[in-house]
Amino acid sequence: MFRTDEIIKASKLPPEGVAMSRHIDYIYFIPILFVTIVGTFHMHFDLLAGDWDFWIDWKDRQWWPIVTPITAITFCAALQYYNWVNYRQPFGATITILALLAGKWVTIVAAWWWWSNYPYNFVMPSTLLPSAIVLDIVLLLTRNWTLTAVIGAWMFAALFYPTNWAIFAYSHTPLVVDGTLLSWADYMGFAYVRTGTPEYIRMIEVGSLRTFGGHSTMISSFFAAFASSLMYILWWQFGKFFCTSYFYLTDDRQKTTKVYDVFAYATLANQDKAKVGGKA
Amino acid sequence: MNIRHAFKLWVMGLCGVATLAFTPVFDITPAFAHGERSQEPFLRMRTVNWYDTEWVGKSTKVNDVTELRGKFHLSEDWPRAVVKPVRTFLNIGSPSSVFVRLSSKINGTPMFVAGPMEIGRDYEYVVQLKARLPGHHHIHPMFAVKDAGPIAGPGGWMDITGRYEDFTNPIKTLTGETFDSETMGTATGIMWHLFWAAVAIFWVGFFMIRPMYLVRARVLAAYGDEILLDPIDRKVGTAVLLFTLTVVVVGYLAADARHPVSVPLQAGETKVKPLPIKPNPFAVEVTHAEYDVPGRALRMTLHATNNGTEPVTIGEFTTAGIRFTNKMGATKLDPNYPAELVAQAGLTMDNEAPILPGQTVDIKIESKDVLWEVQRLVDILHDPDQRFAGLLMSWTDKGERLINPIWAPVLPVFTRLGA
Amino acid sequence: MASDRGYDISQWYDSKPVKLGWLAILGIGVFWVLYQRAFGYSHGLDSMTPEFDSVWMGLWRFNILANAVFFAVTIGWIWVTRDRNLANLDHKLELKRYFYWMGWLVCYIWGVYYAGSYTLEQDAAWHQVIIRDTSFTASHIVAFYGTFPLYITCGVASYLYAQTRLPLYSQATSFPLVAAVVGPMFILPNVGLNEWGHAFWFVDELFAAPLHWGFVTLGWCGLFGAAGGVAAQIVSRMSNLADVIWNNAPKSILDPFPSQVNPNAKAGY
Repeated sequence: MFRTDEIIKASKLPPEGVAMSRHIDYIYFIPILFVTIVGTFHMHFDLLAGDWDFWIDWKDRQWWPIVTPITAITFCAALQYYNWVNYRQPFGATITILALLAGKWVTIVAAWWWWSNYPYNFVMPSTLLPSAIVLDIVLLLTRNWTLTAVIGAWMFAALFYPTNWAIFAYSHTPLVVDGTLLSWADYMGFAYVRTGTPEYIRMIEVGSLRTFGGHSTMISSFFAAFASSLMYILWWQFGKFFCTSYFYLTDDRQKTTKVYDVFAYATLANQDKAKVGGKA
Repeated sequence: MNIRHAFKLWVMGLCGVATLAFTPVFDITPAFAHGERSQEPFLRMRTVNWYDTEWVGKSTKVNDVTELRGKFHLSEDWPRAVVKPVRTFLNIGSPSSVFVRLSSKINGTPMFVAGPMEIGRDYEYVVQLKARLPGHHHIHPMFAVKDAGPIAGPGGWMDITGRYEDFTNPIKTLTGETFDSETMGTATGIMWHLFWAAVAIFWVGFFMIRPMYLVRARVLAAYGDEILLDPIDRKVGTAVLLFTLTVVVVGYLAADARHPVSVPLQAGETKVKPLPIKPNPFAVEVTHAEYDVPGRALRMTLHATNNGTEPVTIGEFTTAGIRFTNKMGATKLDPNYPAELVAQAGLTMDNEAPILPGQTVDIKIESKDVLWEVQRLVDILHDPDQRFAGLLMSWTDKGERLINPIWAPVLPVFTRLGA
Repeated sequence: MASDRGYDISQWYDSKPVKLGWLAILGIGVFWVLYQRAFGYSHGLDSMTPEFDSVWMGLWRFNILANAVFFAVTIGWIWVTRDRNLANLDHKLELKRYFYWMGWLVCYIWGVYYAGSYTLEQDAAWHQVIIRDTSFTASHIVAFYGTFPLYITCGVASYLYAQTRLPLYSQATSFPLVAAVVGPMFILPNVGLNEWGHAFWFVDELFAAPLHWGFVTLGWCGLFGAAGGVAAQIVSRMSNLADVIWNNAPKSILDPFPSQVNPNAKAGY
């Protein structure tokens, strides 16, 4: 089914070398790469968009669909750069969001529910997994990061609201308490006492001057798509920067020189190719 | 000393240090209160002056409804360091949501969102609470000011008995459905998260079952990506793409059909009218105030005039939820008010006699108790703005209560020598 | 011992230390979480009480002291047992050391997970329970003073392990490795900004407040490690070692620096 044999042949590694390579995969992919994303991206996400993700009564039409995808596409782009450019692996965005949700759900169960006693529905996170899967597949199919920045990033942001509407639509059901109209989400925010989060901290849509027909969500998603596109470009370049791999060599005279490690197989294989005069 | 020996010593040291550090842990007794004492005294004395706080129903069963109610005066001496109460919210300080809040009214106006309030005016609040988590809880009214943060009021204990498992909070929506706040939407949310996680794990797993990194890096570096871009990846990718888009659209439409009536989150502002200003014939001004550090006493000189028709007797000085009363004031105390916040004989005056109609007097008054230290109010002496504020309560002979907000700079007295 | 496969992976692979190290750190994490569950509500709500001082400041003192000792022992051990004959390092042993090193990185990153993911968001949850009354809350004592020093020690240990046992890193300073260790390390001093800011500036618990963005940018540096230069360096070095071990490639590919500094230089080993 797969081209694995052909790829291994081209890598010119004996079975022992392939086994060594697989051991790198085992110790690297989940324990190092995935957990690093959990640790760093969850922090990044919480401290830039966390409040909208923590609370059901922050999931509004104006800011939630903007802040969440723009904040999240960053690491997706950087991880795509790393995995695609070095290994042609099209899952950078998907593992990024999977890692975020893994970190989130552990905390939801162990901290929000177990320690602080808030019900799951009150702190239910949103999901960007469909957006991330689409972003990855666009990169795989187009093999082009610029097109991914345009098509993929736009879809990434545009899919956010419909994806999450399936989870949160109920929370916009109206009800009346003490003669006041509230959405269910507002009621939850009011009912469950948050000592450290008074109502005024909420950054939500407070009314627009001109939405021309009340299409707040559409306008926000449209802007989010544009901004995600720019953010994708920026963070693809950040991904390149993170892949900086030079060393500084300081000699006995304290003179420092920038030096590079060498991926010898690129040259060795070419020499080999020249020798046998054929393709690998 | 060789390395192994040194290492052993380190390990022994680690165990010793750990034992020492933990020794106090085994000497434990249950703690009380809720951290309000660490709030700076100026914040607790000069912003919100709480009074008549009542913790109704000190013991409730899970699902029972009870109330927290009281009044507060926004101090005229509002500190420069605290943002003016332009956006404020009456909150509850409780260790998590041990109650759910069913209703919160200020001067009869429901307060779901924040709103402005006026300095120098009084407000009355009633918060309805439904018991949720069993335990012995310290509950405060809390006044939160945007950009100044939460300001804790006095804390009282409320007990909840029963089992959390029995807690329900069903609410009828405008669409005629009944939602339970504890569970509504949880199953749907978890289902969607699991579903998308499964799709995502499939997508990543599809690449994990094949050599992932070193092998591919070698091939890419040496030969480019032609070999690496396996046609099956594109086929499966296209299928997953279409599947994902279809599920998103179907999920969206299904949710929309299931919940066709929706409103945006409700924002805006609560407009609350302050309580009407009650005519007060008793005029009081603080002409001098000092805090006696060794004596744990705030002493002030009051210049008071009774413009009314009845004699007036001073009975209580209250600040930061702490109440200093004399004999007369003690008779007016709500017996349910937390005893740890009351200094029953803490208020003394150089002249206890009632102030007669038309009379102007200068009274030296002292509020003295260890509570100044226990409640850390003495820390005003470490503040860049050493002032106090509070409410002076007096009663006419007919029993009408008169409330005078008072405030003044405080001079410290560090030794008994000058006293 | 050679297996049926016809080769002996123990020559270049050993996962025992990483399993032990990770389990130890997992154990500490579980201990912290259980401690918080046991004493959070009973002794952790009012920092002004003597009970808080014994139970919670006791944990704080333990965290500080245990971390100091852990740092001294670990760093001391790595330094004292350093390889003084790196020029003659066996290639399969070097491969094995790369796996050991990745084991250190696993522990480091598990600590970063505690700090950046679990305890960070748990802090948001705990702020809804307490009235913020101290910089040393039941949540902060574990997050800032437990997990931060823990991962910093593992990060510095990872750095020092590479410097003392792996030829490339003993010869030169890897920019991404420095960034991957020092960036997250500076999250601890950034707590100073955080506490100052919460004292004088941002008094409400808004997680997305600009006050917190220092943590964010320092956290990005983690990508220099796992999804950037360090990972790329590991892959290329292990690939080169594989070529020398199994494909008879010239040993000079393992000594790339001298020729870059001085084109006439010969390979060092």
